[in-house]
Amino acid sequence: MNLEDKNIRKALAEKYLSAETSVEEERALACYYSDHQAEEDEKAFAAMVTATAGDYLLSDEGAVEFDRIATSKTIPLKINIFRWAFGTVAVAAAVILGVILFQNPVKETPISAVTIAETIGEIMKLNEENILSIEAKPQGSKAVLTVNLKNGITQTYIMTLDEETGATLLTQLSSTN
Amino acid sequence: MTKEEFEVFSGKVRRDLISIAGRIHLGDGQPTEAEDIVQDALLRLWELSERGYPVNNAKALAIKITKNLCVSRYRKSRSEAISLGTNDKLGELSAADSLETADNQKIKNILYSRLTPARQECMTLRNDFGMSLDEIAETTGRSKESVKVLISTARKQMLEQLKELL
Repeated sequence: MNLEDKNIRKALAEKYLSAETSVEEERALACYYSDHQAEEDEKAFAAMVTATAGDYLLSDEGAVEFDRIATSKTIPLKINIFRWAFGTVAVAAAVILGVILFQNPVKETPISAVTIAETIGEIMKLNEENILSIEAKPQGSKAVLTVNLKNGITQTYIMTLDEETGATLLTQLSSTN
Repeated sequence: MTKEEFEVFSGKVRRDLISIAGRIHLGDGQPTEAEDIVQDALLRLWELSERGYPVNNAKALAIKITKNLCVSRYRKSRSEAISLGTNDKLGELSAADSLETADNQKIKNILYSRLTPARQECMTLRNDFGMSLDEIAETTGRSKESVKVLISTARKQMLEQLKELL
């Protein structure tokens, strides 16, 4: 379910208003709108979804998410996003990450859809005026993020979870026109 | 479950729940306030029981509620931490934006206060507890179709009110 796609959001909004969405779909909508600036025609709907979103106390997915969070020591996402997200490509950093990832592998924890969605949300927040879209391809404990900028440039990042610190790391792999 | 039974149950599971809640750390790296969360979780469990929700395995349900409350607080703390991290952007927010983000609870209270009691009850069971339509139907003694209509009507009503406000 790619909520970056407005057509999907619109279809889900119709289902939501008809009370035909699942609890998890409603949760996903609330997460999306709390992380993204709503477009003009979606503002009222976004305000309703975010304002009325509760704790979903009986959610099975929430309980699973708890286990994932609890197994990692948490370092604020912002620190790593700021450090890595849109700076100039640091070749040395990529090499270091490569060493960490491929030569000295740590215990792998699959990246959840929620973590990927949150990370995309933070990237959009940081540079939303220049970003056209972001696509994510989960690959086990890693995910490849493709960021399409409005000026035609496409940047590719590898997203990983550091098992040791619980941090989310983004390192740019390429930037093409 | 009677109140006395619930109090005995709470006394038995409280330590286990606190231990579970203490496993999660908030976005700022600080541990959750486990005792507060567990207190809240037990209150919600009691509320569920009072509303007629079938509590077949009270401990499993208490654990699930505790975990969901932890995740909810974790997410809120993360978004707050990130907002602080992007402090340079805060100044760019309009008054309306700030109002939208800061006053979700107030907006919810206002919107809910304008709903009929039946719609309000269904919305609470759906959004706060995350119940399926079947569970709400069972809890409230209404048909599933009736619950669906109540929620749908409530949402459309709230949307119209917000469209007038924004």
